[in-house]
Amino acid sequence: MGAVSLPKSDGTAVKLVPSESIVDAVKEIATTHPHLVGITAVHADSNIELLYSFDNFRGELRHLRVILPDKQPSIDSISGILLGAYIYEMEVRDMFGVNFNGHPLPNTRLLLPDSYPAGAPPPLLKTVTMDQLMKLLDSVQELQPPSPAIPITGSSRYSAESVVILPFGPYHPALKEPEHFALALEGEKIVEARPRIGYVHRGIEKLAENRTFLQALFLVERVCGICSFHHSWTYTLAAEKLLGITPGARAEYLRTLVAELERIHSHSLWIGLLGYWAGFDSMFMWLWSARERIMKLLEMIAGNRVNKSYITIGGVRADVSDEKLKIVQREIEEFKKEFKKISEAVMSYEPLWERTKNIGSFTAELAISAGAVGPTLRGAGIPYDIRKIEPYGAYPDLSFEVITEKGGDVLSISAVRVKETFESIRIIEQIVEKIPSGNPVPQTFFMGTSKEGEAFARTEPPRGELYYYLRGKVGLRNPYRVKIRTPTLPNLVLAAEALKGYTLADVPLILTMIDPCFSCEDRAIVYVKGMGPLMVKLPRSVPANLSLGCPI
Amino acid sequence: MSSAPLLTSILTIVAGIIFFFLSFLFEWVERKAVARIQKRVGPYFTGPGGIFQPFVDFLKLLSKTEAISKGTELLFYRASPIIGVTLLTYGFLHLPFLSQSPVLNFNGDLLVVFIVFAFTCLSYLMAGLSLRTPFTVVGTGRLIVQYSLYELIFLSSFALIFFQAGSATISDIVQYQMINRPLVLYQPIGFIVAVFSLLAKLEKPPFDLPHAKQEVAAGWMSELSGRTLAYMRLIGNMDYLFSVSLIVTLFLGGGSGPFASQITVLWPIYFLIKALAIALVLSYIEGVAVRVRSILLPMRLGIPLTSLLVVQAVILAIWRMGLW
Repeated sequence: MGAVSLPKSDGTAVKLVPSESIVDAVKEIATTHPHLVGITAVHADSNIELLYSFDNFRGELRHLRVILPDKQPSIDSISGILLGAYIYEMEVRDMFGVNFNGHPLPNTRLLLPDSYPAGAPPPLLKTVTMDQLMKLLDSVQELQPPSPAIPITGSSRYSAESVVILPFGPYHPALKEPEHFALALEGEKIVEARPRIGYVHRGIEKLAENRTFLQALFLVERVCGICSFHHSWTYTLAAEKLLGITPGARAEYLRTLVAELERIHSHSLWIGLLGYWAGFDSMFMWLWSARERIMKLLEMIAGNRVNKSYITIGGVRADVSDEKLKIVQREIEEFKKEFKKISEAVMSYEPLWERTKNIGSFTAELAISAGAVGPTLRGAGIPYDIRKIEPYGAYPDLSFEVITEKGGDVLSISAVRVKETFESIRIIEQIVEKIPSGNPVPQTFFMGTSKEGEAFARTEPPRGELYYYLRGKVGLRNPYRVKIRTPTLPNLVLAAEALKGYTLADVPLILTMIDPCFSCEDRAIVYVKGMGPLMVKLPRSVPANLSLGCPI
Repeated sequence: MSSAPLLTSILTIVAGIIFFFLSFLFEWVERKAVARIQKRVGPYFTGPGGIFQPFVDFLKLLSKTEAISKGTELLFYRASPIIGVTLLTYGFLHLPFLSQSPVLNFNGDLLVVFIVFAFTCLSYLMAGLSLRTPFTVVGTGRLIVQYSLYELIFLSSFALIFFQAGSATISDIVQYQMINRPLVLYQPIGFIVAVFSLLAKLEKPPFDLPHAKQEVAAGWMSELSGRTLAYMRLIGNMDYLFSVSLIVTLFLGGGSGPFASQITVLWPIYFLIKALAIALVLSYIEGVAVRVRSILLPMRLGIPLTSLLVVQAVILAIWRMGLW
């Protein structure tokens, strides 16, 4: 059985490509569509279907589809054409057992621990049940003890006297989430960085296949603690496309309101952390105290600060009264004043410039090749914002600017985030004025069955383009396949590349300039020029089953 | 000071106890001031305004289990707090805190300051290198670089004081300031340089590189715990008080002030007020400072401050020559 074409309403073209000619096809498409959105794999009908999605930064998506047999699937790697592709390919290799010929990192794991038995079936295949997987996970530590832990000393290319291997994480004050980087230091200068990820895998994609559409909504919301609403919104957009449901206009406005409040809180959180990483604790304290105002608004609207659980398929779960909208308007004005004062003070502060200007520099070409998204890409001058190129929610009715900065360093990315916060404030002011009346809450929550087909959705969370792919099968209460591609993954490829040559003092700033969310996107490795990506073994102290499961 | 040995002993003990408790007061002042700048309340629960919090922290750490890693050089590990606390207390006794005459003194006792500086740093080094992990090695390395920079600056600025006061004895320098005017009025640049390089000595922002938590976790302190950590923190506090008192003594005329010569009780009070003022200035800089990039440390600490001192020296030389 062939591929199911994407619904026409997406305005997308899917081209079926034989597996031998994938490299040529990608080479051709990359000349016009250089942004690789993701590689989606689906196991269906004894086949593994790979969907390569490309964008030309104007929202004109092109897809390439390859059908592989699920017995010993093999295809050529495209990481020679687009740098960021290797990380997507590793994900597919871990989860579906597809072998990528010519991959720079053969025989290494990205998401699964090294002790995952080589012969064991890949976890996301449909033939692998949850029970089987759990049994495997229970026994995996006895099967094979994890290889020696980091730090790796005596690396043959350096003499032991001149190089210190500094373990950076998984528990380190600069990292808010568990992630390990082994940094080879010559004095203070970084000559090499080797990360290992996979400490917080929770197998959300596999779990989502075993829940109804509505239950999966609450699951995907827990992918991330900062942009939780964007995850549930993107999932809802994909599900609504798949199931043919249209939400009311007021619901779209309320969704946009919560999403923009989330962007403000995420950006002010990050700018505060910028101060923390630069050793400027006061800036951190000031911004986080201002951000508290936004968190209280979110609590007022959705009843919760972090996992808002506000959205549902076909609308939102509660209306917001006019009085509450007035409070939003008033509080956002107060926040604007406060934020303006703080951001003007800190962004013109000479010592902070010294810590951020020309630190972690990267070019726009590198950013495109790595597949970077969001403020990271806009900091290099490319106006790529899903809200503008593929408007969703209430964005078509609202006026706002896509902020870009020239430069491509920590400072330019910070400036993008500061200005975007003001744009978000502007959007919220418009929403409060323009919001239409009506009932945003659907009569009943969606409890029905799926249609045959597939759909994807993209949104613009604070960190950049988020991509969800949903496959439905007739009569099924669950989604057949949920694929999540979060923004940190391609951005981290870029950050790792930007790290080399700088000093230890810059590591926190460079690693975090992309606003990494490792829980969102626990799957990073570093690409070292001329050597290919490097991977480090999983430390012994981490239970193997922690990092097992599906992506996310 | 020609007093009986018994009196000296009593005064030594009194000054030592005062030094011990006052060092916690200064930590409280610093924490409270920085918290104000950062829109926080700071220490809050223990005592009025949380004033006893640093002391309670010390007691709490003393009671904690001490985790000593395998491979620790026990001699270094145990000796470092002893060296630090002893030398700093000894150094403080040479400062005229209680009255115009320090408890201990001898001709040329300004040099004691350098012994204290060197041994304080040595005690940090010994604690840091007693277990060589990546964090302690990098942190201690930064500490040594920083020490070599500020040591030179202090040495030069004290040389200028010696040049003007004509004596390397602390009580003589105080006497000189009481007869003329506090040295800060003659050597304002030297004073600013000394205060600024105190931040490097005390590992405070922007020069908190040796234990910059975002970069090297706790730096040279990474492997310390329990009572050793308590004592190393105490050394940090004592170092703070000692350094601030030194600035007060050398630049602000110690505890001299209106009626101080008639009412002797006023001397320590004036001294304390001046020291607290310096502490507030330091806290303010800490509050608004961004940590220096380690690679730029010589450019930010060594070169500008040294050249400022050269300017001060030239001005001083011209002034003295004009006077003669």
